[in-house]
Amino acid sequence: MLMEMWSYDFMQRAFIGGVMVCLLCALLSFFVVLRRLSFIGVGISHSAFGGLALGVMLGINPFFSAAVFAVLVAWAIGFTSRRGGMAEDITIGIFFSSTMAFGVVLLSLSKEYKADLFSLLFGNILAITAADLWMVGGCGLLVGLFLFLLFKELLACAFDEEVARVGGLPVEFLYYALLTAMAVTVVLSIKVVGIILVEALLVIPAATGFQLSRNFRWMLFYSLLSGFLAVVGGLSLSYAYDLASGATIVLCAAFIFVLAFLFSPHRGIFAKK
Amino acid sequence: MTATTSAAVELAHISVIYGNHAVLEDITFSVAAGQFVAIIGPNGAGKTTCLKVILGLIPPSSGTVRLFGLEPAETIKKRHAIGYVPQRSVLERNLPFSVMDVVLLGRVGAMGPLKWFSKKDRADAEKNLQRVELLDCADRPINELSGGQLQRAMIARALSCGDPKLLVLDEPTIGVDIPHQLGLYEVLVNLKKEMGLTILVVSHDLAMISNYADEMVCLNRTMHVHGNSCDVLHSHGVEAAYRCEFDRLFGAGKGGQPC
Repeated sequence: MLMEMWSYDFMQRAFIGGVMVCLLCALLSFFVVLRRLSFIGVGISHSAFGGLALGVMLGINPFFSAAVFAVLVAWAIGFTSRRGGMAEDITIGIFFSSTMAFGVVLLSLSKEYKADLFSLLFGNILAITAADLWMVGGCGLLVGLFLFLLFKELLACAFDEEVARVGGLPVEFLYYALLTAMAVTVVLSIKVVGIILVEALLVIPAATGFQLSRNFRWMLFYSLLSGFLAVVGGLSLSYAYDLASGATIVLCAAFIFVLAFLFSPHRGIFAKK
Repeated sequence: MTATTSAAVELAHISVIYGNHAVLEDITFSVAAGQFVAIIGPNGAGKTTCLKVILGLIPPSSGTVRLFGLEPAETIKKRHAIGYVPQRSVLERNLPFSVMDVVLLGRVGAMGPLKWFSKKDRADAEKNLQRVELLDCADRPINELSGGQLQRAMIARALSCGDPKLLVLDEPTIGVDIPHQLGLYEVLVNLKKEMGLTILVVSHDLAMISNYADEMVCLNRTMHVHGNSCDVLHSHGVEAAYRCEFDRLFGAGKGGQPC
């Protein structure tokens, strides 16, 4: 049956799109986990919903409006959390709930888009079109290239931003560029896992990588590997048992994390200390 | 206290004011190149703020800072001459880096984009680890080091900043036991001699650091005294800054006679 699954065009597209998005998220999750940006990720991903709704209302491509909106909200969250004065979790809590509420209010005014709400929130990987693949591939390549070319700079900031600044690195630029990459990736992931579940792909692969390794090189490798296995496993299971594909991918990622958490030779709870 | 062209650090009338609360007021002093200088004062005296003003991390409300004759931002951008060891608390995270990785990361700012670490970068990093007597720990995970070893690794990272001329350390001995504190200061004194570095250390433990620093600057919001370590230690300025008598600062043992 698994062989038959690959004979369908939509499954091939789902697989290619899913792999691209999951590898991109896994790469980004490496920095999200090292820099502890996971809650900012929640804020950004939920805000994309407001951007989608805005696009529907204005009659423009909702993915474009979602990207612009998510980037702006990412910068606003970044600005307020760096400025201090109020705890980061409070500002993010305000941002993500209010931008989501904004989206719900806008969609309630619209007559036509309600049917697709579920797929926006939880993904619809089987509906990925060839044009979507090009978009994911193109934007994903840009984000991937950014992370690859500035890898050591981002790593230095992840380890100790203050020292990186004294070392002459443009830490503000790197921080906001990373948030921008997160916002773009969130929007690219909407069809694969949806707004609510994308956070899982921005955190779990690197959390698995961290469990399995003591050095960042292996952490990165295991992050990418677990992201890849999650999408292959998740898609296969969702096809075989007719399950929601995005959620199944996330559950696979979580399952791999639990295995790593329990049995990692370095950090697992059953590891010899 | 007069500024000279050879000064590594020059502060003139620096004030830092948050709202209507002055953290630092009218701080003026200079540090000659090649000196080991300690900024001392009680907790909450504004020592770390002063250090961050020197590093360009906090803009002063008024006054000027010059590092080797340039503004801090310019010195950082053009010369990569400043190594910084922040307070340890910022590093108490379980991060997956080896000691060698961390030392190499100190070099990133000076390398420029689109390059990965070369053999020369690694050789320099090894040399810096050797200078702090930590080369045998190069491959160990950073979170397995003791407090003293971690600080040495951070010093090696600071030395990797490119072309180090000034080393700035914020309370390097917090959480380090006394024998290792001695070792840490010995390392700094050797670096000063070997590399001709200017060293600036913030410490609240004036007794220990006075054995090693050439000069001390005593702060408690305002400047209290600046001079060679011995004179500063026995000045009324220190007693005034710590709001405590000399005998009590150093202790004479319960029931003992103040000497």
